[in-house]
Amino acid sequence: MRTLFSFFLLTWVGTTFAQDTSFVKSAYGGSSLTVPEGVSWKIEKAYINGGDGYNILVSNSNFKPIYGPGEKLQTPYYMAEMELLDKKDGVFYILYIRQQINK
Amino acid sequence: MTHLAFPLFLMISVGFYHAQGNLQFNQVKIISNTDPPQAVPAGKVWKIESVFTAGDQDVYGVQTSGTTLSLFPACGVPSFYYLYSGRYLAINSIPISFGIHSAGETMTSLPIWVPAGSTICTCTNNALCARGYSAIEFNIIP
Repeated sequence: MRTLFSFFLLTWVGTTFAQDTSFVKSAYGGSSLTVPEGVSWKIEKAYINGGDGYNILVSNSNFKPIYGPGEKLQTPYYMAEMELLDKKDGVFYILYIRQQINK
Repeated sequence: MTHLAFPLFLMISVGFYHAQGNLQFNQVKIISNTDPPQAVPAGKVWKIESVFTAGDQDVYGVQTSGTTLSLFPACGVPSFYYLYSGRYLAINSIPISFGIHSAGETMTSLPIWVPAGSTICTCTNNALCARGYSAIEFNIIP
């Protein structure tokens, strides 16, 4: 009985106080990432890299505010900030994502 | 093969995520050769994209005889023996010639990245000085 109670308590604590996680994903321009089921993604910041030794911060307005479960996050093939890169083909996105667990 | 793939992946990842810096566009600057010397502010970096020619001239030949001139006294650049004509700027007291040599080679390739704390000097000699330049200013961000 005590074990069962502990199990439910831990499950409840886990789901109630589950914390958001942040991670970094990378993708080429024009590709897409799919949000897993049960979570939502918010782009905290995004950089582009043209293969040189520097990343350019891009505006978050290039992305939706929130991507829901199963939704595809499409990385733009072109955006104005790419004019700041020396090479505009094969541009790479570095996305800082905050993942929220949907309850 | 597997034991090679991981280090390769690691190297590529480190290259992208820990590139030399992250930059944020701040502004575009156009500097005339009558403007005072420009210092790149702390926390910024300038990318010189274009150097403006005097008139329509873009191709410069070697002079038959060089000349010792002091083109950048405002920046303390010592007298320099100028053998090549061109569009000169001085970056950190180094005179740099832009334009295309009559032999067909570009004298200094653009863009030029100029770090914080550097000084860019222009001059007004009709034969040897750039009329100005354009630069993009970036903020260096973590």
